[in-house]
Amino acid sequence: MTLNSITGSAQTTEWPNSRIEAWKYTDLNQLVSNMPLSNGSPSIPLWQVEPHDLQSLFTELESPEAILRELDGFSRLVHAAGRGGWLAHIPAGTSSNFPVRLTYTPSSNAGWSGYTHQIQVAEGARITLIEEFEEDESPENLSVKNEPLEAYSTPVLSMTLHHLQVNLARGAELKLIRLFHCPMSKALVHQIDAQQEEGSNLEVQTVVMGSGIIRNNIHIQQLGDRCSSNLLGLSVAIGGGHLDQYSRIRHNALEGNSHQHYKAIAAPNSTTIFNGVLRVEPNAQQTNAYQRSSNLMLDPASLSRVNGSSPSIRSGKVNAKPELQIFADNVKCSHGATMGKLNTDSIFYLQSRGLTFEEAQKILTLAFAMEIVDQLEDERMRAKVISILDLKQWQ
Amino acid sequence: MLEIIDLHASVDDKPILKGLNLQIRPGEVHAIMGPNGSGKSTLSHVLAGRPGYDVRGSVRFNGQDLLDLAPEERAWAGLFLAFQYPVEIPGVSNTNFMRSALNQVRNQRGLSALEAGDFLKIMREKAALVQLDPSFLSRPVNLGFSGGEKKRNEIFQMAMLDPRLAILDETDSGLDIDALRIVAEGVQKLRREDNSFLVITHYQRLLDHLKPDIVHVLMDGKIIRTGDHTLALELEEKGYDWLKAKFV
Repeated sequence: MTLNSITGSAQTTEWPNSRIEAWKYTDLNQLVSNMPLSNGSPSIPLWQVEPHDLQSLFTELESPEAILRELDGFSRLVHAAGRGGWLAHIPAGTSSNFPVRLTYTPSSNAGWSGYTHQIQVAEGARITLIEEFEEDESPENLSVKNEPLEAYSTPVLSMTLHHLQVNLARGAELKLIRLFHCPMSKALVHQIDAQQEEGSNLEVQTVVMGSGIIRNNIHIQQLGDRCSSNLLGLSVAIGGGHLDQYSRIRHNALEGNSHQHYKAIAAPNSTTIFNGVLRVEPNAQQTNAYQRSSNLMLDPASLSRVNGSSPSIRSGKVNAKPELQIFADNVKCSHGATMGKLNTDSIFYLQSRGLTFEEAQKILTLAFAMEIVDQLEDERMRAKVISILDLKQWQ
Repeated sequence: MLEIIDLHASVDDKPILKGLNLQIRPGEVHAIMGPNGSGKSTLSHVLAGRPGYDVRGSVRFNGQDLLDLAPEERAWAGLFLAFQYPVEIPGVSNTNFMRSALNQVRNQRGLSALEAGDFLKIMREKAALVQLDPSFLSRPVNLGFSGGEKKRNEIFQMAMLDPRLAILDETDSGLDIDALRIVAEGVQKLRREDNSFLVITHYQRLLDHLKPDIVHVLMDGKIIRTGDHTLALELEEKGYDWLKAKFV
C-alpha cells in the first residue's frame, strides 16, 4: 500500500515492508493494510514539556525541513504525513542539571499519524531529554482475556509514527531516556536519525513494554572523530506483544566508540526482536565497538505442570540478529547474543522455599530486567518502569 | 512425621532408588550415610519435589501424600531442603527473597504477613544464630558467597522458615572445622520435640556434633543397615566395603 492511497496526496512513498531486510520482522505495510482508515486528525496538543528553564527552546515544528543529509523511506513517509512535532535548538554553552521532560498524548483516533521532531545541540552544549510515549487501552480493544491474541496477527486500530532528527555539533552531549508503553491493537513506531560531529556524545536509553506493537529504530552516524554512542535497551513483551528494537551505528571517523546493551523478555505468546547493525567504514580506524543482546523467553506455567496445559499458549519468542560489517582493520569490535529460559534450578530453589512457580518466575524475571533498569539515568523513570514491571503477570 | 514405603526413583530410565523404606518420628535426628552414587542426593531431591525424576512408591508427611504436592506445597507443609549446591540468584537480595518466602509460608499456615520491623528483627536474630554476617542479607542470594557462606545461608533460611522436617544434603561438605561447628550448633539450637532432621553426610565429624538418634546406610538405592550412632563410628573406621561384601 502506498501513502497516497490513504491520504489522497500525489506522493507515492512505500511503506517499509518485510522485503527490506531492516523491516523483516515488522512489516508496516501489512499492518497498515489491515487497519481501519483514519477518521480524523488528533485534536489535542500532541506533545508537552514540563515546566523547565529550557522549556522555551522547544517550539512547534513549522516546516520539517531536513537537517540531515539523507532521508530514508520511513522518514519521508512521516514527513509527508506532516502532522507537526517539536523543534529544539540547544545553544552553545547550555548545560542543565535537570532533564527536560516531554510527554506525548495517546492517539485519540483510529488510523495512523506521523510526527517529525528535530533537535540540534550546538557546540559543547549538554542536555538530557526524558520522553514518555504511552498509548491507552483502546475501548474497542479486540483482546478478550480468555482468548490469547498476538498483536502482530491482530488488526491494529491506531499507529503512531515518530521521526526524531538529531544533530550533535562538536563536543555536544545529548542523553535521551525514553519509555514506550503500548497495549494490544495499537502500534508505536519511532525512529531516530542522529549525526554526530567530532567529540560528541550521544546516549539513548529505551524501555519498550506492552502487549501491542512497538518498533524502535536508532540510526547513528559518527561523522567526526572521537565520537561516543551508548545505547541501552530493555524490551518487555507480554500478553501477545510484538516489540522490535533495531539499531544501526555507522562509524565513519577515527577513534569512535560505541557501546550497546539490550535485554529482552518475551512472555508467553509474545515476541521480541533485536537487530543491531554495526558498520565500520574503511576510514574509521581505531574504532572501539561493543554490542550485547541478552534475551529471556518465558514458558507458560502450564508447561511446568502435568495437568491444566493450555495448548493455545506458546512460549515467548525471541529473534536476535547482530550484524557486524567491518571494513577497517585496526579496530576492536565485539558482540555477544544470548537467549535462554529461566534456570529450572533457580525456579526449584525458590519453590523449595515456599514461593509459587508464578512468584519464582516473577522474581527471576524482574531480576533479569533490573540490570538494565538500574542503569536508567533518571530516578523517576526507574520508579515508573519498576512500578509497571511489578504489576505485570508474566503469563 | 515421615513415612517412606517402597520408594523407587529413576532418571532417564536409569533406576537410582530401588525400594527405599524409612520412618522418622517427631523430635528424631536421622543420619543417612553411604558411598558416592548410592542415591543419597536423589532421595533429598525426590522428597523436595525436584522435577526430572520418575517416582513410584508412597511418602506420607504428617498425614499428607507428599508425592502429590508441588515443591512449594511441600515447603508450606513444613519440609525444608538445605541444598548440597545452593543456587546463586543474581539480582534478588537475600532479604527480599526471605520476606517473600516467609510471608508466603506464613500465609499458607494461616498466619498474617509480618510487619517490616518484626521481619527485620527475626531476620537479624536468625542470622546471628548461624553467625551470618548481616551484610550478606542485603546481597544477592548466594552470589559470590564462599562454599561455607552458602551453607550457612541454607541453615539461616531453615531457621527463618521453621520447618517440621529439615533435610540437610551434605551440608558439611566443603566446610572448614569452624564453619562445621557453627552450622552444627545452629542446627542443635533449632532442635525441638516437634521437629525432625534428616542429615545426609559422608563424614562422622558432623554427627559428632549432632548426635543422631538413628543412622542408616544407603547403598544401591536401598537402606541396607540401620543402627544407632555407633554405626557411624564403625563406618568411619571400616569404610563401606565390609557392608558391601555382606550385602552382595
